[in-house]
Amino acid sequence: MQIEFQQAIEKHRQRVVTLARYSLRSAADADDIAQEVFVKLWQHWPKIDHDKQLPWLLRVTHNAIIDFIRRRKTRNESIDDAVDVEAQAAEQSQFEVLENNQLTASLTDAIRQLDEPFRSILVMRDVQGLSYADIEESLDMNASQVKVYLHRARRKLRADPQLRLRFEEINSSGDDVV
Amino acid sequence: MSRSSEQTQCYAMQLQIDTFLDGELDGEQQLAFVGHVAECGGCAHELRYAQHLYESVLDLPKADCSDALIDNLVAISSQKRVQQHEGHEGHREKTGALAETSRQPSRVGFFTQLDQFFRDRLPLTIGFAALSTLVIAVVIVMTPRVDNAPQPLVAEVTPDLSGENAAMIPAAFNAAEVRIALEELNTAIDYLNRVSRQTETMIGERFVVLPLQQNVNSSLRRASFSGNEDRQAGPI
Repeated sequence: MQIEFQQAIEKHRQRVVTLARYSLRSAADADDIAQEVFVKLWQHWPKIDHDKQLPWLLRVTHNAIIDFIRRRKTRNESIDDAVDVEAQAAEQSQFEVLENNQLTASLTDAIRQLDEPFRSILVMRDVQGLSYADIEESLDMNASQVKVYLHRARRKLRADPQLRLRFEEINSSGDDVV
Repeated sequence: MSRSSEQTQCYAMQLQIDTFLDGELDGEQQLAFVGHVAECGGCAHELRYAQHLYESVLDLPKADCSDALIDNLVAISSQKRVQQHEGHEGHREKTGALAETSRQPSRVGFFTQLDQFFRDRLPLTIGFAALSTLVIAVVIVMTPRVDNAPQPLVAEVTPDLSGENAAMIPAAFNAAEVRIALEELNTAIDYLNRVSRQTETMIGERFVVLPLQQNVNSSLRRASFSGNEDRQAGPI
């Protein structure tokens, strides 16, 4: 059982952490969520249908993120923001380096500002490339609901003024070069 | 074509951008979409923007957790390690590791399983309160049955009408009447003893058991309702 559990961690860790990372600003918070999720996996191991392990993990991650955001909202926002800024300044992971690309950084911010379930569906489908079946199972929705939410999420991203500005800058510089 | 109908057509086409990017437009719809985009500069620009964002999202990096987290999780799954750290790793983690132990068939008694249940299912305080209530209730219910049966609160009167006692009986009553009166007195004493025991039990339930039950019930209600609003329905 331990070996199977460790294999499950290896197999799914990136998906769990990516979903958390695109919902929360701090990498440490995403790690906390991942730890909480995998501890729950260990506790519920005998009861889980292991053919649906990934949807189960994604569902627990989704719920843990919602709980985390709700708890954070109840705290003092200004103190929380200060802590987040310090934490972010201290981190220089590969993820943050990649975020330094302006469009990528704006895109990541825009995704984090999406409401649920738009954010989770967009991250699961477009960032992680998960199947519609896994998304349906994890969020307890049918296929048409998932597609409607996904398309709305993309439209909300396109409506973000920062992203449009970045695109127009890239577009105009490309035109200049041509 | 009028300007308003052109705008309506553009709006309808732009709603199909995501379906087009997913490759899910059927043949006729795709022809109409491509034909419109070829003629309409605004829609072509929107399609380029949508495609650029779509590809940028696809290229976004995947995140991964730290090695320390993995080590911690491996430690949690390792029973030996968890037992070493059970003082500060929290009850849930300990329970997870001990769940494996509890599946071993021998040497696991009823009270161990009961203790395991309370640790697993309930927060520590609620579990402790429930267990205390159970113990107090058992003591209150059991004690009167053990003590009262052989020890009536008021001793019964035993008629002894022989010898000198017979001389003390007033002339107006014969010995048989006095015996009947004493038997009736004993019946009354017995009845009063039983009423007294019932009163004790009722007082115990009213002032000890009921308040504890109400406290436990309200704690359980608070625990079950707190933090469940707006949650996605899930296995946990």
